[in-house]
Amino acid sequence: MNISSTTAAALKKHQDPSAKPLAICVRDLRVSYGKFDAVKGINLDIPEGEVFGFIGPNGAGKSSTFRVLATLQPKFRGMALVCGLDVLSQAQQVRDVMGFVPDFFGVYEDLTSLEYLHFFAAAYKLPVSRRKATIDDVLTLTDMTHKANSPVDGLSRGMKQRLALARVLLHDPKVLLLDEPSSGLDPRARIEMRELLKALREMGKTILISSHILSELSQLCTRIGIIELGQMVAQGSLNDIYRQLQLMRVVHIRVENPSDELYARVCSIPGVGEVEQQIDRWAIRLHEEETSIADLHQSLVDAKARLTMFQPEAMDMETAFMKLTEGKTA
Amino acid sequence: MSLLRFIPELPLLRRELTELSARKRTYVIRFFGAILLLGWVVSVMHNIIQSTVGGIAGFPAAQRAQAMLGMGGQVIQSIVPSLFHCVQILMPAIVCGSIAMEKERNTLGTLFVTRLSPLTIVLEKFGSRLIPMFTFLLLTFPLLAFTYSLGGVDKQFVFTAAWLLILECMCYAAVGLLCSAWFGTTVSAFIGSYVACGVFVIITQVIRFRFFSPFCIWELVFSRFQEVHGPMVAWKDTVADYAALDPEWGLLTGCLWLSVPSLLFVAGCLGLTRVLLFRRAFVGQSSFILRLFRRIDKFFNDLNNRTTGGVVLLQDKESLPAFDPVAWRERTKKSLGKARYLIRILVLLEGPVLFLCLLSITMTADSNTDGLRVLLGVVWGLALLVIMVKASTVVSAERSRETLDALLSTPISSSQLLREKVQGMRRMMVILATPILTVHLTLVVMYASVGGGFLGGAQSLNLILYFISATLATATLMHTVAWLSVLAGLRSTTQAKSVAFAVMLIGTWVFVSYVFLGPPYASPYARSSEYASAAMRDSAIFRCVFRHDGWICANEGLLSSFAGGHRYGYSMIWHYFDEDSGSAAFVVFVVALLHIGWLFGIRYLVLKLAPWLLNRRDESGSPEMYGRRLPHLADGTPVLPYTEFTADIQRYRG
Repeated sequence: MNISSTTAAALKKHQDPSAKPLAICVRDLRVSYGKFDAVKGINLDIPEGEVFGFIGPNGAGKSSTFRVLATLQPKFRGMALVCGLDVLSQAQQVRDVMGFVPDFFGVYEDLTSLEYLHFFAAAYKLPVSRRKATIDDVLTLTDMTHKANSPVDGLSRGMKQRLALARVLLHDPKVLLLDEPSSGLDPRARIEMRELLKALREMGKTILISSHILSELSQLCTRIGIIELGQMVAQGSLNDIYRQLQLMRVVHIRVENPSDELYARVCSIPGVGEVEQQIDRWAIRLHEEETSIADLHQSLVDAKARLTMFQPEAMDMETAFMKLTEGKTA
Repeated sequence: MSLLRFIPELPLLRRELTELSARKRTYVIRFFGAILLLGWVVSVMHNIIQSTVGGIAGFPAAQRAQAMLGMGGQVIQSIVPSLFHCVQILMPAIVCGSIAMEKERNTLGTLFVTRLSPLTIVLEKFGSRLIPMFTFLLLTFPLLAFTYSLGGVDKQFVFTAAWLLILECMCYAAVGLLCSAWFGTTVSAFIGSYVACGVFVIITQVIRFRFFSPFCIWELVFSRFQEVHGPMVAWKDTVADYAALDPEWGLLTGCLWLSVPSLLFVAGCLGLTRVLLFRRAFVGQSSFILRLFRRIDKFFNDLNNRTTGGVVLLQDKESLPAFDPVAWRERTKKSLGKARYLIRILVLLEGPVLFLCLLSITMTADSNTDGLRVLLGVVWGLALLVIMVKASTVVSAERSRETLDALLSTPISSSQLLREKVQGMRRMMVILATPILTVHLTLVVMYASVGGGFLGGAQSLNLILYFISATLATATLMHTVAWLSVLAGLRSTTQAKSVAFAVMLIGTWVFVSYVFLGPPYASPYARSSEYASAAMRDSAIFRCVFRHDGWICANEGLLSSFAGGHRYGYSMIWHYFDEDSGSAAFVVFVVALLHIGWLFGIRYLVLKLAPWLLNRRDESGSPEMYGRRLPHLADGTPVLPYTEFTADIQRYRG
């Protein structure tokens, strides 16, 4: 497979012995269902030990990407590697190093939690001699010991999600693919799930997680990717994305002495892109890399603006998401 | 416009029909169904025309064509029973999901909160399943038109047959709808519908109230050889009276009168469905059999606690899976896998079979085994139904319960997954095979005691050979059906679809066996030296190889030398082999080998196709082996070698 010079450069960076190797590497991934293109050329580089948040509206292509990486979607174009293993030609090896929690949790109504874990321990071909100890460990880690003998069918949704996590930890995978693990959980269960994921991050697991609860991802992820209509809109660390968006941060001001002269002076401040005169305020679009918020404030004072309000628009994950996506769904 | 106001809107019926028309499979099923139906009808017509015109084969074409004139009536009379059987086979399958599927999708509640009354829902559901069946039957119209053009068709007969067919559709649809309202899942409704329809047919036959069943009315009125018992005489007389009063339409009027009980039956079923629609709307979707067994367990445990104070002689062992988790779950956790539940099923099945077998041995004179053959057919039918349903849903059940993805993301290969699933069904197959083998054993005992004493020497050896061959044939046929059903259910997203596909697949095999291969024996009325010719023998062997019951047919040859082969059709195959036990054993051996070959061929095909049908790849090698090249830099260095991971895995697994 020939790769572009940009991709090669990006990959070469990870050839650097000091850099962490990529746990997940996706190149120009395209997934189609009939005539519908669900994923249109996604690139992903997730180094080992990173927690990567995958954000996007429903139908954006998140689950399709997860299914490709989980070896459950054999029809796709492009390349997907998990721990350097090709998901198509080395599917069985990929299953050894990866744990997948789908966005739904089907139950075996006839099994208890312990039997469920033993079932999957056998499915993951864990040595019989180590099985009991491993299951005890994952039960402890997921705080499920007291529910070991409870029927899976009777567990709450939060408990079921924990059990699903316990299942994928049985074979100690390097990479965890978690498709909306907090979906439908009550606040307490969500917080507990977040703490559990933090513990897994501490253990050095590489985690690819998708969620609609953006605040949660911001607390957990080292990097995020925003996907819409099958295309990656933005990718990078939270700071990178904020910085990228802050290039045009909006600052709302209200002045006591509005005039055309003042308006012209404000427009001429370095870094100010556009000033929109609204009914009760002016909205300044600011290039933050040229002029910081504090400098803008100082420049406005210097321009004899008598400020009664100076309000930079708050930047958070939700704002970033809203700014980066257009609300289009498949 | 004003007239349109009085036509009800029927939103549910419209939705159902729109859904049906939007599905590609509707047309695929209809296409293949039409081919099968028309194939059958054409073969019936061909046989009749051949038997009539065949005698003047050497005459000019015009004369032969002339000889066909006036045969329309005879052809139609032969076709109509097929259409009734078609309705009997298809209607329960079409109807069973109508309400049960709404329950599975949790959409029934949303229907209740609309302004549709329960009766409207029931009637619209009823109509939505009748219309596709009617359109299916309309496919025979071109043939009927052709037949009509031959002349000799009685108008009364055509209209009466059409009316009784409609009535038959309504009866079976009403029973299916009732089952759909009662059961929580489509699969249980499917089984329930067929069982209920079977019971309904048996009751109408046994208690002689044949006017309850439209097909029986048809038989009653039109069959010359139909026996008429008790109260039926009055009905037949009524029809005759009507026919005498009005020679043109009297028969139809008489049939309409006879249809009143059927119509009342349909109305009763629909009324009961209306009641059950609410009462059973939110019934649990867990396994019906499992729930039944749990209730029985509870009853016996309570009884045991009261009578013995809770003494348990045999305790269930709680085991955990060691190496074959899927088979373990099928064996120890499923209702049709647990030993104690299977023993109950065995008792339930084996008790009546054993009773009938003992009755047959003690009461039947001169080794008349016709009754046992019927019994064999019934237990085989039951066994095949259970195996088909169970095997076709092994994957679709996981898919519909959303547990399949978790399983497929483990290192279990697709072929191992299916092997373990079938392995988990073996106990159940043994239980289902027991009554079948009981009947075979009874046959052996009956044939061995021909002439008052048991046979010895080579003849006994032949009987032992027969029993061994029957056992192997049973196991092989059961496994073949299981693997074919697994294949049919691999792609299906719901259990109902997988069962329907399995029924279609196996049904097509059986149908093709009967229609295109024909019986592997000669007609008892056509025994002549020419049937023993080499060509006929080869044809018989060919049929035995490809027929679903070919091995069983071939086995009959081993029995027929003990008591007049003419007693039973299958044993007529014997006459192709010059009534020589050595050649019969050889033929059985060859047919057995080929049938076992079929089984392994089908198994290999299913395992080979499994990854593709499960939408998964099972490859485990270097990318280059599969023609894939991982990214590399300009100097040829692989970007991500990551060999240490593979080494880690090896170390981890010890």
